Amino acid sequence: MGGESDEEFAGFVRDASPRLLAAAWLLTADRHSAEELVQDALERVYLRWPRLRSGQPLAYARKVMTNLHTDRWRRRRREVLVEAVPERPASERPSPPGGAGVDVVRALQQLPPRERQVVVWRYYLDQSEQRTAEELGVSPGTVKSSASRGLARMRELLSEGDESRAHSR
Amino acid sequence: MSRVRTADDLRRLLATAAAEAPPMHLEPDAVIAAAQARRRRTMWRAVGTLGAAAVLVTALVLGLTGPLGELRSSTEPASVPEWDTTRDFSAVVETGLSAYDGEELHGPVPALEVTRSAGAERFTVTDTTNGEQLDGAPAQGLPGSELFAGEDYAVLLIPAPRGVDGRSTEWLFDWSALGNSGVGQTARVVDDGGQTLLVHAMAAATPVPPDAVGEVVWVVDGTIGLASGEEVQQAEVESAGERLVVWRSPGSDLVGTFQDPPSPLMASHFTRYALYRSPVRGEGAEGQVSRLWSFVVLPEGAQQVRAVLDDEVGTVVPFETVPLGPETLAYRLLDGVEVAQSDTGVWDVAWRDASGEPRHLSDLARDAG
Repeated sequence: MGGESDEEFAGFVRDASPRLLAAAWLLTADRHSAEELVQDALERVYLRWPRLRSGQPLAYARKVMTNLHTDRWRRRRREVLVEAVPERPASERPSPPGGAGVDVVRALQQLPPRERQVVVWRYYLDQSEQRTAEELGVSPGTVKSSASRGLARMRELLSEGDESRAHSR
Repeated sequence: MSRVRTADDLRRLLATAAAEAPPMHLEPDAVIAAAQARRRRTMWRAVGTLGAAAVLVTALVLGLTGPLGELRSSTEPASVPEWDTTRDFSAVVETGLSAYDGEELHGPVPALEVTRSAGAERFTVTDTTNGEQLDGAPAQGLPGSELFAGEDYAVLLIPAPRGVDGRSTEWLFDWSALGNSGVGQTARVVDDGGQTLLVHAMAAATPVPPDAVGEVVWVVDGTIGLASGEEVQQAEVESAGERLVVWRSPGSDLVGTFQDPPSPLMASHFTRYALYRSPVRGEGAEGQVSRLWSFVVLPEGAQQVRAVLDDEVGTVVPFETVPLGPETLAYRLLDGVEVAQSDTGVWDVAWRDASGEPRHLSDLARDAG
């Protein structure tokens, strides 16, 4: 690639990256991890840009991003298994910076990774069940049940957060 | 009371959280530069780059996979013909290639006249549009082959066995020596009735060093050959009506696949502890593949090979085995609408060795450092 094609891709990056970065932030709660995730995904889009440019590069980018995210948490879990290092409970993880959205991001991190992806795809990226299923590589039934469980769990977690804040006042 | 009662509440909170995310930014030029570097690094690993993920259970339920048919395994010495220097040779070759100046493709490459007089030690290649001869040199490591440099393109001439198909041949050059300056290649077969010359042309903004020509792979009557003359081990497998030839050259450190002509060869730098994937012919690139071969080269005597799966996603399609040279080729055909995501379901490959002891690919890789 080169010249016009690169310029076109650069335009795509400028348009698509803010929302992808935000979605990655919701998935990871870590700025650097989010940037790395999106950069990795966009690099793969670039390598297939001649084929993707007239199709759905954003959908492809999201699909790659979720695959990479899945790979990373599985690798991390595997390392944990091998090294016998217990995963730190969510309460001991560094808190993400921010304001009112902090609780939401922290609560998201307590969902199982697949459920977290479904919640972000359905309720932040506003993707349909079918599209979410395609991009996450699961069945529509799994999306429906994960979304339902995720919503219920978020309701519960954010309710707990409210109560603990109320108690600490 | 919870702040999330409905899905819309959650949407609103997620939007707020995203809006309050720390400042993040990606520079398009940095993405492009990193992608180009990634392409250079992975060029030698072309076979297995189908990306990650899951195989739908429907493929298993439907029973679409499973080995059938005869298996064949052989070790073939590569046949590199010697050029008959007692005869004149002359041909005009239309490469069908567009040259590449480092920014974009332009062209086409002019028709080239390839000649070699009886008794001459070398070929000559002439640009038919201006009569200028291209600079050439013997291609290092490929007996009888010669490399020529045109303007923004390179031409490799390889004496080849009769019956070679230009659609099923691959020039595996050393990508790292070219940086990002080499794109696209074509192959033409010239047969003057007595001898066969394989003409590979590549769009290249910088000249290909003669010591970076790498290897050329071809197929004649279903048998893989290498221009270097290195030994090739191959096994033919069949599953669910699909056939695949898996080949390996320990000397050239390559592994690859071939399906029915005129499918292209696929080749990759061999990594011992890798699970390779090759899409069934005629299907698309990553994310569009619905049938996928998956294979791994294991020590001799490996049996009961299976993928170690994630507990949530994956496939239980078993591996079959067949000898590949002195080792064992374990293979399976994955089938299903989400087959392109099969990688993330597989954590490891497990098998029993000849004495029945359980072994894992990850252990071998770790032991090898």
